[in-house]
Amino acid sequence: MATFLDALGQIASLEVLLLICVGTVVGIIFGAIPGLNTPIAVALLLPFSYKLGTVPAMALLLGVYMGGISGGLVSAILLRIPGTAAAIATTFDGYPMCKKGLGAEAMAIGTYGSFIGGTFSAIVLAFLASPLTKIAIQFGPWDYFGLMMFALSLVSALIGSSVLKGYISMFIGLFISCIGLSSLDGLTKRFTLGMYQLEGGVSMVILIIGIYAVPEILSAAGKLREDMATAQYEKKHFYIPSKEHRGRRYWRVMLQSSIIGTFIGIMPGLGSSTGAMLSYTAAQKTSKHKEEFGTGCPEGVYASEVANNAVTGGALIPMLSLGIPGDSVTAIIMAALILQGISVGPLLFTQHPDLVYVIVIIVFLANLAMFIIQSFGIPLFAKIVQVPRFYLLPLIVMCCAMGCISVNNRLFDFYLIIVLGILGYALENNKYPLPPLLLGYILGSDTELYLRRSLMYYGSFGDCLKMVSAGTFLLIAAVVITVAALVMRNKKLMSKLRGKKAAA
Amino acid sequence: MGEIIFLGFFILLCALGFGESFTWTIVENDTSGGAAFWPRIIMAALVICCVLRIIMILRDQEALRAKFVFLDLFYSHRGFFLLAFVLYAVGIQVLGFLIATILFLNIACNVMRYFAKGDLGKPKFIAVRTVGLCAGAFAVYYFFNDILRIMVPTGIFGI
Repeated sequence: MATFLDALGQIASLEVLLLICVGTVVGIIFGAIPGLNTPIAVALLLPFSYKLGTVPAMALLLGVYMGGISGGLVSAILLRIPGTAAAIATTFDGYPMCKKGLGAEAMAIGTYGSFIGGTFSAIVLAFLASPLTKIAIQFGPWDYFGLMMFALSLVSALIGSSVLKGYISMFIGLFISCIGLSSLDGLTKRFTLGMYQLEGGVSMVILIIGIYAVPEILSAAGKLREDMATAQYEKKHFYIPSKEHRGRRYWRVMLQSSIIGTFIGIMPGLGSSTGAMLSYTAAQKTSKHKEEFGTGCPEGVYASEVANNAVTGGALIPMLSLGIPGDSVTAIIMAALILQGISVGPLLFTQHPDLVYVIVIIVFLANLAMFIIQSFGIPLFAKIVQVPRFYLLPLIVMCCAMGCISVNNRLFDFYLIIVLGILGYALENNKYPLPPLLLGYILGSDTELYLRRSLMYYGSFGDCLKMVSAGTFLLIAAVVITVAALVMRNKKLMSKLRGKKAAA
Repeated sequence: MGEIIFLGFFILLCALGFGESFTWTIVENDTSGGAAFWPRIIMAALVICCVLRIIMILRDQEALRAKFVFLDLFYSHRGFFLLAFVLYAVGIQVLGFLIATILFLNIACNVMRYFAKGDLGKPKFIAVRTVGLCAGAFAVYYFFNDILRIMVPTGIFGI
């Protein structure tokens, strides 16, 4: 208790509170602009944090982290362009809500959900950091491979109208992830077509802009004479979801998504986009209103936004207790702590117990700041969709150009988004779901890495399968889900089965 | 039919990739299958899925007749915007980010307004719009180039 009060005392200063707010605003801006993202913002602020003390530095960087993950929902809902990879699943129901004129309400739901998810993960971080890390550390490469295959098959089989189309999309994503130097040995240049620019692979920012933003821009360019959706909002300063959209119906999805998000956050390398997509798929599967998903369902927005913010606290758990960063942002935050002369890992809990509490309190306060700032900003954001398309589209292209150039300081990526945009346009307009493609890309290199490591450790694929472990069960579950989805969606087969039952 | 060609493109791509994977170096003592192991699994699985989808299309007359949405990307307003997009990319390389952005914003906004409303608006409004778009381009250039220190292409004029 004394340590907690000591931590509280360190935070109770105007400087720290102000830095949390500044960090949150910067994070929201970087999260909302397609092409810019949280790792860029945190990396840019890292040199400034060095000049601050440990607590103010953490206030600034964690503020950016919380704000950035949540800020992605703005462009995801209003323009169907996810500002960050974490907001991809938010587009599924957020944008349809915006099309119905409920853009402001969708943003309020997303912001509220983000706050709930972030707060839940802060509580977990405070009480369960140590025991949860012990569970996570038990996971070997085969278990990670199983978990990733499970996530891939779940999303591919359940999102979209056709299982086969979902799988084709996923394999295209996995194929794109193979481009560049091979992941384990780093010696072989794969599918680079002799271009040195492809040796580092296709950047995630480039893929998101190319696959999501460009097809949407090109589609919208063909509908210049159609009226755009307007985000209706009441004239009030502080925007929270209506009573109807924060009632009991949504508690279950919020709790479920918080747990999924925190768990995914603890697993190093999986990240908030995987957490949000898994949570969305789980929410769709377990909802009483499955048919409403994808048509502008608040449950879908909650599932995505609660989970992606719950990942943030979860990702800090292995960083603080083991010194293993859960994602790229926590890796930079870890670097900031090292620059301050603090070594993270098991010793942190004994040497600087107050710092652990400081981080927990800052995570909570940053989530609160994000909720307040974003709720005030909703009427302002909602005006974006009122800008006529003939101005908005060229301006978005300019932002995309800048975003692409900023990733690697080269124009090649801008050409790449045009190619990816044409591919995305063809896929999307012919009902090939895009989320499996992105998840395939995101998890692709890690899936390969863990599979090859498993083969090195255990000998062969058959030997791996013989092991009684979480990986084997998850892999079997992945196969079962795929077969079940194929059977359930095959109308002819289902009608035959029903006919046989009736005859019996 | 369009979808079959589209899927055929991926099958061809995988066939070429599969062939290329045999030229990749295999590290001695690598018991994990080598760099080609995982891509080959992916390509084989993608080909199987594409072939299954083609069989499904061929067996379903409705799917066979269904229009594959792709070529409309190159016509009308979309075609213009795609062309402007490509020319903008080339323009950034040749003229530099700032000049190319000013040109792109002004041309694209005016032409697309004409497509949408049938006119360009009053001369005063055109002037205000032009100034506004130029200011927007400058603001973005300043934010990225001078504040975030991101090197943008400068082109032949060195701007």
